[in-house]
Amino acid sequence: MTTQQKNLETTRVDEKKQEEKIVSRRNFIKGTALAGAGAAAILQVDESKAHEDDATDIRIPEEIPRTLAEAAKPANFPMSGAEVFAKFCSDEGVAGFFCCPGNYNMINAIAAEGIPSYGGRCEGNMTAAADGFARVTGEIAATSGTEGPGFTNMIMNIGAANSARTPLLVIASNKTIGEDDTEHGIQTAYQQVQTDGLKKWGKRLITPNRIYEYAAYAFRQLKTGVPKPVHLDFPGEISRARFEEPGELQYYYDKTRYRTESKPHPNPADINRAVDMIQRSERPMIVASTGVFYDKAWEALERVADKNGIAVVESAPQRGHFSDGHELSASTAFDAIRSADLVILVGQYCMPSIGEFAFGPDARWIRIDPDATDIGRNVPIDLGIVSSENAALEALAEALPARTRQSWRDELAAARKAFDDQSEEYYRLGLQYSADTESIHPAVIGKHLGDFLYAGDIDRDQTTVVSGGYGIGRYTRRYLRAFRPGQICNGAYQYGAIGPDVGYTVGVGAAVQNGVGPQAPYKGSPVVGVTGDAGVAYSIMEFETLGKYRIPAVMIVYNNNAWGVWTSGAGRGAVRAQHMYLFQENLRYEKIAEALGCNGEYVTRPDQLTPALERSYALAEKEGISTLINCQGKKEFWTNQYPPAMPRHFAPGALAYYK
Amino acid sequence: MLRNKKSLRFWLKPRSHLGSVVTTTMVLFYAAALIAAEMPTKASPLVNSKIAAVAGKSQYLINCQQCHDADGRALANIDFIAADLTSPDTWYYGTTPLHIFRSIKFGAGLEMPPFKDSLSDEMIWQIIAHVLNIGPEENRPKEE
Repeated sequence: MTTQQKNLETTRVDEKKQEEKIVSRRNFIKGTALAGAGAAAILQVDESKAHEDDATDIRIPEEIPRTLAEAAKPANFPMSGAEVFAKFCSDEGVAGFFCCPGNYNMINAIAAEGIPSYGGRCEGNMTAAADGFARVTGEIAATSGTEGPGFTNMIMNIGAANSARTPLLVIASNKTIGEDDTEHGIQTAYQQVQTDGLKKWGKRLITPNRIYEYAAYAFRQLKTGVPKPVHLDFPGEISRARFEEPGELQYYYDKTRYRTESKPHPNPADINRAVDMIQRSERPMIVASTGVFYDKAWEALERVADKNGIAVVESAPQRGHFSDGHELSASTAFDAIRSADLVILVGQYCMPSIGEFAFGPDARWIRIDPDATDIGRNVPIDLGIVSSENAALEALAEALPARTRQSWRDELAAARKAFDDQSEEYYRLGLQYSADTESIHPAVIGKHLGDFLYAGDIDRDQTTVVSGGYGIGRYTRRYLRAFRPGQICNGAYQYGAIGPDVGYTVGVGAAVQNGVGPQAPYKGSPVVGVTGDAGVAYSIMEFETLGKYRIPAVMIVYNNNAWGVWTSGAGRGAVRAQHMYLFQENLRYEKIAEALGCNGEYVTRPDQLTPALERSYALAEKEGISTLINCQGKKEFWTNQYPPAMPRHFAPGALAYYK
Repeated sequence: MLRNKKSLRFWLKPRSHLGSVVTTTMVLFYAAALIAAEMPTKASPLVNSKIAAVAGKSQYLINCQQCHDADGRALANIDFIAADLTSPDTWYYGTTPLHIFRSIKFGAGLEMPPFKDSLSDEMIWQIIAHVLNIGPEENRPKEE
């Protein structure tokens, strides 16, 4: 029985306890008042009472825990096409599946195989959930949507997964081959052309007995080289085909025969040259990116750094494969990044161009990548090494002589301190701004969240964080840290999509709930997410998914009543434009979470935030109930009226580059 | 960049509408006085130097390109509408070297931050030389 099943079975057995857990409208009114949420909420009690008699408690229907607790029933011949594919996914170790109904044969077959499966409220958010799951586990995650509308909902977050180089398996149903081009019935759409430029490989399956063969195509793409989404669409003739025995399927081989685990290893001459360059360097720095995580190369990375005194800065959709607590970490050492004289890019799949990295113009460059065709793109190299990340780092660890580089370590320490001092200054200003405006400044949110997660009673390695948001992210990323692989999912990584953060939180929460990959030691722990008021609106309905599966999460929403780019509609000659950038003020997003079976907190002053975090984290940890903390800010904090306004330099790697 | 803000914050604190008008006026007066005290009266000769423009390009890439792009055209800035530095006729805060100096040193509009605490005057003049160098031919530095 999975953790997901156990959690829900527990809630089913103890009905009385469940009643206490359920967040009813009465409870949320009481809870809001008890939380000292302010006069506005308390004044609404009388108004809400008028509806109390009609109110029905939000509850999890018994079918949900019951069906989650059912034993897996892996398929065997005779099988449908969907069952063949689902069994293939199971054999290949697909670790999580996120969907909305539609593609019924397929999603039912995948659930029956025992793959942890989650059904949410929008296909786009479920695609983000699968992406987030993969980003913090390193494992392949799958997502599904139905036909035309469900599939087109998925596209934004397929794009985000593509920029993040996520091994995401996109599977969607798609009408029938026999009725192609007729627009018969509803929901017709040509899918493959719509993911052009957003995937590594894709295929509309059209020959039923080649379904196993094409599954092998898909997993060769997902498990080798540089990962990206793989998109398969299944017409009815494929998913509902019947196969009585293996001989009816083309290329029906075991996975040891349709693909290889072999990976490229570095040319010894290239390693010798790299060693020579590193030895000539005074201030070498490794950029540890996406490939280090997916190749599980973090131990080899640490050995290289330790042996030769090489600094390491992270730049990836996930963080923690080199601990921020390490003496050689440069992830918060901006000045040292500018000072590096040799940059070693390891697995930097989304490659910044000149000027996007903060390295100095005279730095020399080594790039290690499994894909030779990308080496030399954007940044001219002094040495390119085609290799898996782990193999190259193992070779370097072996070949490099021991070296301390004490002056470089001192410079790194000084740069980190300068960064921390600046963050403290921002916090001090943030407190003052908060007091002046009777709201909460984003620097205060970042500082309090950081202290709560890393300087209090919680093990600093424990909590996995979805670091999202637009403006708020510019501040919170200064205070968030990663001490072990997969501890931070960088929401906005390079595609910059506004909106997937709650979806990411569902997937990251599912990963921790099931203890997948590097999340295993923290199985069942709460996760924390950060987003803004613009972003949360796209995916807030997934609080229902968090509630339904009792995924324990604490989501901070920075509410400044506007899109983060609102200043573009003000000043500089803009006329009749500002209204397009603004929302109604003081919206109560936490009440939406409450209405969806979760908990809400409303924070309008700095002193309210840490208690709200403590309550929310405890509720998540003990009862699996998620909370949305609505932090009321001001849009004007992004202007020069409140320096540093929206900081441009917040953390290397938060996007693909230092910005 | 963040020093001497305490008294400024006092004047920024929200009050009544009438109070806001008074406050805004006083803030503008206060800010103008601060700027006037630190503004040079004439442009540095560096703005005509090709060598200064080369040095300014490095400073530009470190400090300016993230909003204005490497080529100065700001075509790719998704955060806000930054000025196209190659087209002075579209600028809102003046086009002379002294105007550019003021914008860099003290900030401009809602988004352009002040660099007075992170860049020396000499660095700012070098950046101006670079900005002029990517603009119209007639404004470019001519001296070796």
